[in-house]
Amino acid sequence: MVKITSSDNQEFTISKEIANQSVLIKNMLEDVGESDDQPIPLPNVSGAILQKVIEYATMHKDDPPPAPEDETKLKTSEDIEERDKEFMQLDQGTMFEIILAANYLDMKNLLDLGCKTVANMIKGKSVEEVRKLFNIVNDFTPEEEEQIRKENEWCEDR
Amino acid sequence: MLFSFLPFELVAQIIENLDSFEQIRIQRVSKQFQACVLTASVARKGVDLVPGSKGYRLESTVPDDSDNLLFFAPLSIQSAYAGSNIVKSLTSIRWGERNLPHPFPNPLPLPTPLFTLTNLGSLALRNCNIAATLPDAFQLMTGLTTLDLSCNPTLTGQLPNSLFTLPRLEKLYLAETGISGVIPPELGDLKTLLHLSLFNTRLTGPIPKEIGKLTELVSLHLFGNDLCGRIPVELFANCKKLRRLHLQSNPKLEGPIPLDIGGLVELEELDLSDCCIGGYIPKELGLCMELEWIWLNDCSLVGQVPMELKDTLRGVKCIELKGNTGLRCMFEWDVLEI
Repeated sequence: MVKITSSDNQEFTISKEIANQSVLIKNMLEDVGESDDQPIPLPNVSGAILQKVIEYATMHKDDPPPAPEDETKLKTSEDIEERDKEFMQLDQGTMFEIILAANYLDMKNLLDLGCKTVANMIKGKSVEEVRKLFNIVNDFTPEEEEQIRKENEWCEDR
Repeated sequence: MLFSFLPFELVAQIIENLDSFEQIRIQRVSKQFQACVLTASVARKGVDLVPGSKGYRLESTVPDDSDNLLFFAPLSIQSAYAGSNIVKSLTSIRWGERNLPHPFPNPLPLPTPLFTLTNLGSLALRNCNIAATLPDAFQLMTGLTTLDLSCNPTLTGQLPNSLFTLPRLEKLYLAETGISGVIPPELGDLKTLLHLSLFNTRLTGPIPKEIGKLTELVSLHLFGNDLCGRIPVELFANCKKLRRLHLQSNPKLEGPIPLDIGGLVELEELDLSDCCIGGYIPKELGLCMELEWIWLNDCSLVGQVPMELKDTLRGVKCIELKGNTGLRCMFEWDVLEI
């Protein structure tokens, strides 16, 4: 078993196979050696988010190792497993925190899942809808925006 | 936690899950979105997601939706699309054939990634509404045998140096364009050239004598320009495979017709009308026994039409010699108009 602590000092005890899904933790364990039972500090992840990340890792602990990249296969963001879709039904804030945590913990599958989920939210939406959905400030001047709009008019009503 | 707090590389990783068309569409959400789309790796992933981008396509005869990515997208996507396996393997782009609907309603640029398609043997964008300067970017297109950009009046610029380095070029068609400047002596480096068509452009200056190095040349169409100086003797002396020679309507182009014209034994069409030819019609013209059409109207020719022509030019369908006030014909010949 492996002990990890979150930024707000919550301690979690997880099995090694779950811990190893994070390349960051895996490398740390290799560095400190098996015998050390000091908890591993994860100062960039809060307890609440770590809880969710562990939930994801537990769900995927029996996954077969990833198949080598198939060049001919179209990689789309549509191919998300049902259980992962359910897992990502979160408020935006938590979703972005999980993406950040997955990036920090170096968990490729979870990071992909997060990014694909957000990409799917963007798909088919107008520029204004995307800004509104994510509270993104339009930092273009009206002239700049008009210029981009004009250059890409051919693409707008596809 | 807001979207805006995500670091750039994570926003990029989100946007790379969108296909190129979506990427182009949403780039004006914010400067960060735009910067992501302009990132080469994001553009490359987006191109992979374009439907059909993994298909098998060695020839392109009709531009499809995704071809817009090569011409109208931001440079990052143009480059990624040109570099994708499917486009990189293209051997032929032939658009704008006469009987097809106009392929591009909007003016077509000639973006630099187009010139990285090194497998292209044929690039034909005839009557495609090209609005661009012909770039000096042919260095990599070493497999090109046909370049046809004719019938694009808003294609401008000069004949670029790299054009004359193409080792296999057989057909060069830039007629009816806004191409200007002079024909450089490097033209002679296109040793494999069979057909050269530069009519009705805005070319000026002389025809370089190096044209005589084009010994495979079958047709030469330079009419309707503002060329000047003597027609180089080397053309008549060396280009012995010429069948069609059309230099008409270059009012400042000078003769006389050299005796060497008799060496063009395969010549079928000769048009020097409306040029400042002057002098006599050499009797050696009669050695061009394949001649079918001769137009030498308004050429300031003098003297007499050599009688020998009638004996040897058996296949001639028409000889027009109108508007040469100093020229006389002392014999009857039904195909001759004077």
